[in-house]
Amino acid sequence: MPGAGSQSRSGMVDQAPRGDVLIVEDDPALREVYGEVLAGEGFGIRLAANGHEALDLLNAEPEVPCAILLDLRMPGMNGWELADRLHMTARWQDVPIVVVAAHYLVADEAVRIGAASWLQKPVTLDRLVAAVNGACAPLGGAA
Amino acid sequence: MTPAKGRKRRIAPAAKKTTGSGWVGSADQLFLVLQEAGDAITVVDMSGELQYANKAAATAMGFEEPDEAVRLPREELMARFDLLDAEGRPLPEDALPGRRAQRDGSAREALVRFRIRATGEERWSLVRPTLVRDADGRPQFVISSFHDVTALKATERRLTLLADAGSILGKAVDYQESLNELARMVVPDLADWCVVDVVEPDSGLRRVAVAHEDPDLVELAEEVQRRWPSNIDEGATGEVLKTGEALFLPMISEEQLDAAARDEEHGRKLRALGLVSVVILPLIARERVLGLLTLVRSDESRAFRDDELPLLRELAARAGTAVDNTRLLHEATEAVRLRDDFLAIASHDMRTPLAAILGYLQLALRRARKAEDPSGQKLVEYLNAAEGMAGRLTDLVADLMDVSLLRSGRPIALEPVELEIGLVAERMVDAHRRLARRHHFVLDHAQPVTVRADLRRFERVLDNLLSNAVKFSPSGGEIRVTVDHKGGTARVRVKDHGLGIPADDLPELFTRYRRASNVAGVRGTGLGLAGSREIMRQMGGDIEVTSREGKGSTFTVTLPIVSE
Repeated sequence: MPGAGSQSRSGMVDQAPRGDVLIVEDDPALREVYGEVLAGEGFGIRLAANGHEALDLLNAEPEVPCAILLDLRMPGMNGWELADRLHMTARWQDVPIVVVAAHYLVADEAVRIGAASWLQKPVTLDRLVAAVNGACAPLGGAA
Repeated sequence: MTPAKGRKRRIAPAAKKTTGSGWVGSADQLFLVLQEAGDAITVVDMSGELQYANKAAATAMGFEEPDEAVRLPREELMARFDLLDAEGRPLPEDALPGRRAQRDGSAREALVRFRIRATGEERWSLVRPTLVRDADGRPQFVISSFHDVTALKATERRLTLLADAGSILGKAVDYQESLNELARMVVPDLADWCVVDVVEPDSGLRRVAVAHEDPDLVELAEEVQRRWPSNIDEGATGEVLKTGEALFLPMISEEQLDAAARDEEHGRKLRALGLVSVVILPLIARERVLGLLTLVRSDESRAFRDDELPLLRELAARAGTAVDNTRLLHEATEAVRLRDDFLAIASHDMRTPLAAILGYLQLALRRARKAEDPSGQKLVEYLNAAEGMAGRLTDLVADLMDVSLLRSGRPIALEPVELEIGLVAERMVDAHRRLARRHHFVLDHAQPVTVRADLRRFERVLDNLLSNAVKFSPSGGEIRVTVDHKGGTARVRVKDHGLGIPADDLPELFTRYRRASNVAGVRGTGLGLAGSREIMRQMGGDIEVTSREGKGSTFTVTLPIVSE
């Protein structure tokens, strides 16, 4: 059942909700780690194991996430295909994508799919948080 | 010109009186000496007419008797030959040594090739002219002696040919190209046709080179090959491929052509190709027949001779070595590429558990720094998860070690113990159930089944199959694991409802490094199934698969049951 394993969590600290981050990553352990740390930073979290699940989640929620953490190689719909679909849809085409992948040419691939930034696995959580903060609070917005 | 064969007559040493000319015999005897000399000797008068030819000269010009030659007018006589210089270029009559001597008394010797037009036979001669003058110094006639160096030249050309072939084949990176170059080089000197076929491991005989001076005939040969391809296990080619022995057909008879023709039209076209004298040589390297070198001469006068075979065999041997070398080079390059691919994917695969370990440790650290979670419950959770991931990484490395042993043909050191495989399956299914929440795991395990197996390796094989089942059914669904036994064989079946495997990929599924063509986006080293099958076979069992693309796959692991 698509999206069955996905969930949305509210922030865990006493902070105003800062918008949702959609995490698209096929490895369950990494989904958990990214989710925990970003929830700890006050973001709402949506989890998807591949592009199909991500589209299901995006369609199900009226609110557009403030950033999408995107792995590239995934079974089913991969990161490249999902990025294409997002670019084709007016509602989602401006959502910043942060590529987090083990691909050895991750920077090139990130530029190719028009990502806002990129990180190569393994990634430190400080850099992950910084990248999501950057994506979700553009142009000196109050974060 | 052919030396007169052993017909030198002994001159009787009658009276040893000389006549002041260094000769003790009669003038008749002297004439006999001239007539029977091994070298060809001619005398041409100042108008260019042949006045005298000895026997060797007559034979060389294709006459039975010297008189036949002498009777012919100069033009008719010369029309019987093509004159060529040492490089094979046409030589004008005026440039013949005898003609030069006539003009200016030059005694310079020269190498001349005579091709007898009627037969196509070609002779190399070293020609020495001498202008003879009378007592007043007036030119009288020119004596030419012709020393036959055809055999010497043939040896020289053989050596040159082999040297050239060696340099063409030696640089072979692509044997198709070098064999083509070789074929073009040997035509038309060595043969009118040169054809090279190579045995391809999968697809049989492949024609890689066809050379003839006439492009129309090359086209015809290609048409014949297309419409009536030579068969790898039939006919002359099949015979040579099977025995590895050269087939020598110095003169092909009408009957042989008829026998080779598959129908009337084929026969007509074969005749049009001019298959008169044929040698089919095997290309052999390391005792395997790698292909065929076919040489054809279209002219009866140039039919292949026995004494040419050693050269032709040597040529074929060099071509065979070149094919073998380029194949070995290609295989080595491919092996290096596969290894590089493997390393790239393996290091990619290691990044994921490494990233998770790092992530959990950092989560734990963040919590510890903020002094949240006084009970330490979350800390323990994260550290446990990090430990689990480090275990996964360790397994991955152990897998790589096993596979590298298996790849090099060395058995891994198994530690077999008695196992109840239902319990092992249950443990593995539980672990995956926790990891893959979108999938619905079902375990059918009615009764205990005991086998002897290496626990860690058997766990990894099952883990591999379960991971694959999850990985290749991205939209979730049921994964059913059934443990049972049938006729002394224990079975574990893992059935998913995922992408399935295209039928074309099934035969290669357990081949190392291969992955099904429809999973390009899914990560993995592609080592799992190959390594798993090797391990199962070393434990006396096996893995098999049935699959339908789009419907899912069922992998069945078997092991012999331990009898009670």
